[in-house]
Parts: sequence; C-alpha cells; structure tokens
Amino acid sequence: MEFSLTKEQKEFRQEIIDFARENLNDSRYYEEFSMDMWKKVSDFGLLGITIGEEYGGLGESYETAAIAFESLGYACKNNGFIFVINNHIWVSQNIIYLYGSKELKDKYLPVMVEGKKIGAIAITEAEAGSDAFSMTTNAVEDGDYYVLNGTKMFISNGPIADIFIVFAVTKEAPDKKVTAFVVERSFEGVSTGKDIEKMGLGACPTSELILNNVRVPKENVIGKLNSGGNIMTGAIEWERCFEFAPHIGVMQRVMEESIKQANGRKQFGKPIGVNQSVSHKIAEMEVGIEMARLMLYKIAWLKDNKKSAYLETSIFKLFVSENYIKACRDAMQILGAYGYTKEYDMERELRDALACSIYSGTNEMQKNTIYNMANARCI
Amino acid sequence: MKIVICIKPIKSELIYPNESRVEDFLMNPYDLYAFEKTIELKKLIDCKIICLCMGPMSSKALLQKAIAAGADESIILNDDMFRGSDTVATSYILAKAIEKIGNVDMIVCGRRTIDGETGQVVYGIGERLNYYCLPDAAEILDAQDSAIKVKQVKETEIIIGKLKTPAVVAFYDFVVTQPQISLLALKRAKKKDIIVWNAADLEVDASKCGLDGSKTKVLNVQKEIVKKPKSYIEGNAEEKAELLYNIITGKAHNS
Repeated sequence: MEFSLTKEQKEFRQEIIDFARENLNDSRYYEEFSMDMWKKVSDFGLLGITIGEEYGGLGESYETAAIAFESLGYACKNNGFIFVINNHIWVSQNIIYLYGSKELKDKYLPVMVEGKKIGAIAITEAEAGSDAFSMTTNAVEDGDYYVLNGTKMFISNGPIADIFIVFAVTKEAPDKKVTAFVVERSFEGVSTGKDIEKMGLGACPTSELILNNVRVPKENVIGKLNSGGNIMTGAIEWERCFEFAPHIGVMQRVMEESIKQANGRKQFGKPIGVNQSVSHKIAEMEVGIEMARLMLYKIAWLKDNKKSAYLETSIFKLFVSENYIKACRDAMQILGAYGYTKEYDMERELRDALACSIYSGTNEMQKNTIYNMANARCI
Repeated sequence: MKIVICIKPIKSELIYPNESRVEDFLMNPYDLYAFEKTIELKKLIDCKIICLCMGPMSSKALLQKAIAAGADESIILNDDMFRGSDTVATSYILAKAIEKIGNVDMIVCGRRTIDGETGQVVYGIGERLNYYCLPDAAEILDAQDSAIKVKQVKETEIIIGKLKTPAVVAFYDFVVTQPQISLLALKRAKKKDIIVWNAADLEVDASKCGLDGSKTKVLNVQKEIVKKPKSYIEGNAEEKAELLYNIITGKAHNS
C-alpha cells in the first residue's frame, strides 16, 4: 500500500490552493452564486478534472481528484460555491461520462467541461426524499420522444443549471423501473421555481424543477431504458465521496483557526490551549481529519480500479459529516463569543456544515445501509 | 521577433516565508513582472519567447509553468562550473547562451533579484553583447521593424520612446502573486522537454565562470527597517477623512 503523494499530486494540490485563495474567496459571493467565479473555475480547467482529454478534460485519476477536492475545501472558504462545482462535476457531467452514449458525450461533455453549460441532478421530490424510488415523475413513450411530467424538489444548481439529469418512472409497479434522461432547460415545458432560501450554502442556488409535458428525444436516455436505478446508485456513490472530500479540507482550515485561537487567546494569564478542554477538542479534530482522509483515499483507489464503493462511501459520508459538524461546533466554542458573531467566518462554517448530515442521504439512512450490508456479509 | 527572458530562480521560502510550499524555487518577482508583460506582448505581435534560466535542475518546474503561461521554449543553464557565479560571471554565461540561441532581437529582464539585490546582470548582458540597455520599463507597447516602443516610468515622469533592436529591456516593477495558469495548459507543458545546456554546450571559458570568474560575493542580504515617526491628522471628522483619503490615494503626504 502506498500512502505518499507523487510529486505531480503535490504540485497539483499547490496549484488548486493558489488558485482558490486568489480567486474564490470574495466574501460578496458567500450568499449568492457568482458567474464571474464560475468563469474563473472553468478557465482554470478544474471542471474537467477526471474527464478524458478527448472531451477537453484533464483525464486525472480519482485519487488525484480526491486530493484536489480536499485542497479546494481547504483553500476556498465559499462552501456553497464548492457545492455548485461538485453538483456539476460528479452527479451531472460524470453521469453522462460514465453511462451516456457516445452521442451524448460528444454533445454535452465539451460544453460542460468548459463551463458553458451548468449541470444539476434531479432525483428528489416533495414526497420522495430518502425513499427516492417512490418518485412519481414519469416518462411516457411517444414516437421518437419520451414525454416527462412531474416536479422535482430541492434541486441544487436548479436556478442556474442548463442541463438536468432527470430520473423518471418508465415502468410502473409492481416491477417499477426508472430511467435517467438528459433534459435541457431550453426544452419546452421545463421551468424552475424561485431560489429556496436556506440556512447555509448560500452561494448554491436551489429550486424546484417543473416538467410539464417535456418532450425529450430518445437519444437523451442515459444508459438503457429502465436502468436508472443502477445509475442513481452510481451517482450517489460519487456524490458521497467527492462532495464530502472538500469537507476534510474545511475541517483542516477550521482546526488551524482553532489552534491559532488556542495559542493566541490568553485568559487568566495563559493561552487557553493549555486547558485540556480546549486542546482535546483540537485533538479530536485532527483524529477526524486523518481518519476521513484515509477513507477518502481508499474510496478513490476503489473507483480508480473500477470497483464498487457503496458501503465505503456510506461509511465515509456518515463519518465525515459527523466530524465536520463537530469540528465546526467545537471551533465555535473555542472562539467563544467572537465565533458567534457574523464578523468571523465560524458561524457561516457551522451553518454550511449542518446541511451535510441531510444531503446525499441522511445520516440515519447511511446507518441503515451500513447495517444492512454488514448484516448481509455476516449471514 | 525572437525574445529571450532571463529568469532567476528564487528559493520559495524567500517569497512565502510563512508557508510550506511544494516548489523548491519560484520565479524572481521582478522577473515574473517582466515575464507577464512580455507574454502580454505576444497578443500584439508575432514573436517567439524563450525563457533562459541559470540554476539548479529543480528550476524545471517553474520553467514548465512559464511554457504553460505562454512561453514557447525554456532553457536551463546548469553545470557545476556555474556555481557561485556573481553578476560578472552570470552575465558572461547568460550572454554566451544568448549568442548560442542566435538572432535574438530583445532580451527582457527584471531590474534585480530579491536574493542578490545588485541589479547589475541586466547591464552586464547589454555590455557583453553590445546591446542598448533600457531600464525602468513599465510596458512594451509595440515591437516591429527592428524597433521597440516602450513605456518607461521614472520618478517624476512617464516616457514613451522607441529603441532599435537588438536591445535589453529591464522592467522596474515586481509581482509576487503566482500567475494563474490553466491546469490543462500546465499538463501539456509538463510533456514538453526543457532544454538543458551545460558549460561544454556553451563553449565557455572556465576561468570566467563560477567562483573563479567572480569578482564579488554576496554574503548576506538584510532588510533595513526604517521606523517612520508618528504623525497625527488634525481637523474635524470630514477634514480628517478627506486628508486620509488623499494620503491613501497618494494625493497628499502624511507629514
């Protein structure tokens, strides 16, 4: 087993950190999406990190991507904006790249890699959250088209996306099946609701996606008809891995802030870090970061070797989200009243962090998955 | 037009003293400014830009970055014989490399390096090649028909003039922020070979290189901290704000 990074990976990490610090920390855009920042990320070439060079991407390994996204989380303080990038890359563009036909790849990947079109994934519905397969959005065959009807809920990137990966029912119960489609915003009958105001991740606009008799050409089916279940599972794996990789970087940044405070803030004539109630919180942050990083690299290795990581990504998602939220809460405690003010970034970090126990499948659902898979392995 | 940019590699900890960085060396901030201005020129005129760097082989990464940022070629001058070269020896080795490149119209440099601080190499190259040497350049506005149009910034005036090629142009300013290069350009640049020339390639006289060919030796460079006396801004809030604004924008002096 090799745990050291190559020289190229270290250089890559440095490039990401320099770029993010210089271009992505404009506090005016912590609460709203910035097209200017999106353009910078596109020009930098990050969007095509694992996409093949034939589509204008970098063709990097998932291991390198994991390092890159951890670094992005570390250097870019705008967690909402990272969320936009992640939704575009891992659950929109990557789905076309891994499961789409050559025609779909040729048509959509170059413009997505260049950032000219923004992607979003649409699974969740008002009554179908954790129980995604209970969705009611349906697609009915009509000549060379499928006609889609339904409303998707909490679509990250919804208000800004040009391309939606939409999951719709193509075979009703008892043998219910779903299919994945590429739906363009420009298709007649596609609309998005107003930006849903959230507690955190302000730079990532979120909305409903409304599909009203939308005629989608048959060539826009991703993979095979009725194979959407497998694609959805695959998408969730990518999401649980790469959307959570930056959180390790954030944890690192939050820990460094805490250390600065622990060493610099003096009470009763000594730095507050000499109190174990403070230093132990920081020790726990370090443990969380190190364990999460090991898990991330393992998952990246599994994906580079084309292996399933369903259980691993579930464990990773659960572990990272719990430790990420804990790190932010502890950091706020260490910063004291200053941390609670809007002047410091910590309150925003905490608001952003809290969402991660909900998105990509709630932590409670992860425990169900982990138990079921562990149980099945033992029987 | 063939342009050579002379680049001095600087230890990264001198530029980022509080940061642990992966690169051993970064471009001298004065050379980086000259480099960025020359790359801008590429958008205006048809030219070939060659980066020339005397230094250790680990300077390769910064030269690959230079290619990714728009340079056409990069050359490292590396030989044990070159070690310990002062400005006299360095300008001799660089001049020999420029002669070997051949038909160079313009040599671009930063005014000085942050680790040597002598600012003599620019003139040394000009003298050895018998090229006119123009200091304090802020921008190259145009370059064609054997002439370069340059904007020069002096203490109290801005001069726009033309000079005949071949010439050495030294830029006066510096930039610390590393250039933003696309990851794809960088990946492609890493596949390109960096040319390496040693003493034999340049056919140099050994007695003019390294410690043997040097007249001086920089032992240490220290920052001199000059403390300015405190001064107070008088007047009502509005007057104070106006004066403060003028001081910040350079329209008034704080005395």
